[in-house]
Amino acid sequence: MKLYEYQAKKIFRDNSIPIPNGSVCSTEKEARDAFASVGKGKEVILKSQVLAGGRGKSGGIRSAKSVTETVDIFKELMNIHIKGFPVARVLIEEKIEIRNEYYVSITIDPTFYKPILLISSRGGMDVETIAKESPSALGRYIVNPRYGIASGEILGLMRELGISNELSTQLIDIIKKLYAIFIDSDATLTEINPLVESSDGMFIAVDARLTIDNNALFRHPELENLKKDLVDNKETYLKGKGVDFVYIGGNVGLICAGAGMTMATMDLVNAMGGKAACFCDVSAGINPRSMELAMRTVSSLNGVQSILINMFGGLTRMDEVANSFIAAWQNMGGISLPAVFRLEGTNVEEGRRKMEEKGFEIITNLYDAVQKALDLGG
Amino acid sequence: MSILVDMNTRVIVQGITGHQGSFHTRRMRQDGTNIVAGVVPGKGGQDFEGIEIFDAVLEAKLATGANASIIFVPPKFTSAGIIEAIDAGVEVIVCITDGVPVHEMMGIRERLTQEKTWLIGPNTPGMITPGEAKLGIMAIHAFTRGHVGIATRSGSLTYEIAYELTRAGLGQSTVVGLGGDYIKGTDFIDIVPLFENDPDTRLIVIVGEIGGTDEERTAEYIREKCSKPYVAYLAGRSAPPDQQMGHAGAIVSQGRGTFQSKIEAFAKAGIPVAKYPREVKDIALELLG
Repeated sequence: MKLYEYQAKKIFRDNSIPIPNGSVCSTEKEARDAFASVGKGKEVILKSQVLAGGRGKSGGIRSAKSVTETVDIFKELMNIHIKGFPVARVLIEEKIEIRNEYYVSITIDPTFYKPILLISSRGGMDVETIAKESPSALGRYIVNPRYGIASGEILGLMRELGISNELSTQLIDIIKKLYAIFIDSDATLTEINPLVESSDGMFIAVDARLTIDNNALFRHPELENLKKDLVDNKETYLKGKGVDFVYIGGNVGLICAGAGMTMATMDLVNAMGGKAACFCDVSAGINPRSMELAMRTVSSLNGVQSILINMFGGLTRMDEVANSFIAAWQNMGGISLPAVFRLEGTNVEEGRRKMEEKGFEIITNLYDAVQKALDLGG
Repeated sequence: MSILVDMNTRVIVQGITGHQGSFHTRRMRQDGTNIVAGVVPGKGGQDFEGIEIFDAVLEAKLATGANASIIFVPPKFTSAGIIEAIDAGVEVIVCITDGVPVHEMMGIRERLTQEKTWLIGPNTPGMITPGEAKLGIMAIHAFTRGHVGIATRSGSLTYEIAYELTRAGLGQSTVVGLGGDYIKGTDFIDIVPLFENDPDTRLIVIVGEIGGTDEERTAEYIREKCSKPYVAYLAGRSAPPDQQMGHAGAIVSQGRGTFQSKIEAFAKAGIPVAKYPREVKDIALELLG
């Protein structure tokens, strides 16, 4: 579960990591008040709250120097989408005078399967860019989870990065607090970028990212509660109903069974000249309700011109899949988009017979099915 | 021959009386697996359709000579179940449960480096040596006895690919579902040496996906140490970055685990990568002549 910046910042503040003064706004009045209280009537930064990176480049982070400007920009931001995500709220913050920008993150290393700390004195750009453009400015430290962050070792890393002893002391303090958050909240990623060294020599977390392991949410009711603030709750809602869904945006809507199969189908659609509109995996439970939910969701996506339903049965029986489709289809009164069915595997003959009885054509070959979906979509 | 499980595998089912545990215990038995005990804390002394139930894995192992275990317990208790089985010295543990917290898996992974135990999963359909033993939840008709080893991060693609191989007359020595999680007990790089040393395996299929660095490390290992033919398939070319694609492990994060880096690693190792699932069979047929 990804948290919004303002949610992550609240957790940072609760753990004594310095953050800018700010106010989360969802009404014009709140935005107006924030200019006075947070910006001291001089200048504020308005930050769109979306679960997507690269907000700055997409015009989602702006500054304002008057009440009128603050309210105008606030209204504008509340109405835009950033990388397809709606803006939930606007975080209005004081402007921090920047001397230097640093990067700090803790994730789980995909090779050693231990926490890994990344630090750089080139904050403000994304870590992929730092790694590519100035790899020597990116320090890596694998944490022994038994002992946590060892100051002495981090200090050595900071010297290599050219960070002074005085700043290192402050940085280590913040890193230790960040590590405590990472462990205590069962995080898979936490990041401060930029971690700003202000003109008066203090470190402030100007941005904050925190992603919690979905599998550990049962231990964190306090975090689970944050879900209700998600403005675009579609993916969480569907997941709760047994449909694993990720919006991508394309012309072919997919409904598949199994994560690997869904990805493979997306890849094939794209390789054959179309664009998959979503990742949609119903393998958690195929029944008329989940099927109807998936069909309604996928057929309502912008730009979708045809739907491809691809199921390969192992334990799932194709005659049951056919029953679920037909029931969902009849309940919906059909759908207006052309649909292509590819069924293969356990009991496919029986499934085919049932579908054909109702006038649906079944294609067993995946490649023919993808081609047909592309043709029908025009 | 085969790897990890065969006709001599004697299996404990942890969570045998649960919904999934009881359903799949019946199926595994039908499919010829030798299930010797169940473990359910508090139900020791009872039995499940003639299979004796014990309170603890160690007791079950001592009483029955079991050497493997399959875990169906709910996510909250799964890592405790895994640790109990490791602690009892069970040789092969297959963990079906989806939803084990990744921080718990960090600890288990570290413990495994000091033990001889093989942990397959979590979040896996399991593994099968066709005709000998199935420790898993897969339908067996896609599989048949033969000489192709398959290791995979995807259950659904395993069916598609195994089914095509079976229809083309290429049976399997052992098929191992490694699971879809970010941290698994066993990776490709751990399983490849077993297939490489198994005289009954003539070709190995690797079904990978985006996320992590296992495919890259495995390709490098194969390039340096292996001599058998390998075929790979990789899912997730079209997945957007920073988005989890169903599996907890299928995510490109901080620029690592991309499709491109995996493709390049396989190319460098001279391992052909099928462009779509069905091509795996075509390449396998060609390589086996």
